Amino acid sequence: MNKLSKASALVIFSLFSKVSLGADKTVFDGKYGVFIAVAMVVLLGVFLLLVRLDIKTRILKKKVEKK
Amino acid sequence: MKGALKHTWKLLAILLVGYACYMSFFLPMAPGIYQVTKVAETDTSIDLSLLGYNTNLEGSNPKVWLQKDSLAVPALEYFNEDGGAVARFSKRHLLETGNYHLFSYNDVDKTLFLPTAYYHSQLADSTSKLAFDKTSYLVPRSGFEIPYKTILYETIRNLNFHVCMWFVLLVLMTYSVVYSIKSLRQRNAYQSDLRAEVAARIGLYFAILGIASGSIWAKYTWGAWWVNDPKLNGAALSTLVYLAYLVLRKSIEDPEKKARISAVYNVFAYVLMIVFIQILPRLTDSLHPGNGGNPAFSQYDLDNNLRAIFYPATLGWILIGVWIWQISTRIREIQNKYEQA
Repeated sequence: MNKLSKASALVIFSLFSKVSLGADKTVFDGKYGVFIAVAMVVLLGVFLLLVRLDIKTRILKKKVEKK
Repeated sequence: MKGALKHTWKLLAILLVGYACYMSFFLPMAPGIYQVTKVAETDTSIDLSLLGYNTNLEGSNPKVWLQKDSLAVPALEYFNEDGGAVARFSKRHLLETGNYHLFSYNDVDKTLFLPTAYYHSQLADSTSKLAFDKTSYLVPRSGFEIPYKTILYETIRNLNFHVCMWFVLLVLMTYSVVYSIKSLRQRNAYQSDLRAEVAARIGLYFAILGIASGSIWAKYTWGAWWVNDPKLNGAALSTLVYLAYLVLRKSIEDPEKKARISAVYNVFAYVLMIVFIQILPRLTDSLHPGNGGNPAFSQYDLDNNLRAIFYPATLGWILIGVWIWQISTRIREIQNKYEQA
């Protein structure tokens, strides 16, 4: 993983931890949790897609360098 | 300078998605009453307990009333309890049986509303009408906040993530079908065919994100991971149709034949997707807003504050999707050139 991917991961996880700590501790905890879960699926999904592209470019770069 | 301008839309994508994420996570939700329960009843009065979310029921100048059509019945007494409030109504003033909406006003929360909050089953022996002018207590909230909606509550924020995935899917599948049609019109259509394939792959990935996020939302709102809803079934069918497109591509060796057959299939797949996702759910009853005759993104469904987050979020996610498609296409083109060299 390159620096950009690491930085993105850090931003996403700090966002989740901050929100989790700041969430209202009432009967709506579960509902806020659902929102965090949905947001996590989308953000981590897109993040994983970017990581996959990142890995692909690295493999390609290595192939080209070998040649 | 020209190069920098060329990438402005990418900066816009990041800014819009960043803005949508920040607003979705940190913008507070408007207050609302989520439960009204009858806690006591005598021959002459009923006590209704009010539970609110983000509310200030102890706020100054409180007023609570029940309403059925044009009949508005104010509470005679109002007192705060731990985590809520109790409003006392005289049975003499409830002139009709049936469902009553509950309205609550105070100087901090302004007017709050819970539809069909109380069912009145029996009229008192003697009734009398109480004069009450509610107009001075009907004050909408001002300020930028996430709207409060019963059933959805905090999950209304999901709109800025889950729904946007489907918009990205629609845009990428449109890209895919456009390049497929282009490839049918060209002789050596490898590049157009490649672009169509990559757009379908990335679109499919966003569809899976949409299904996964929607399934979590459905579990907590509708009570099941998957419900028999035309929109959900249509989304699943569309995903399968596009998975079949990728399988079809893998099964043909000859590149020219592959490009032609899969392009024709893609045109049909696109039409099916539009029918499954956009047309059929609108013709039958659906739990999703915007279907079964319900308006979507209209004044009834989408609050203006939410629009100010949802529209930028949609545009941002679409641009991110297109950006990912561009990068993926470039990688595949380099790979192909490398393998041919």
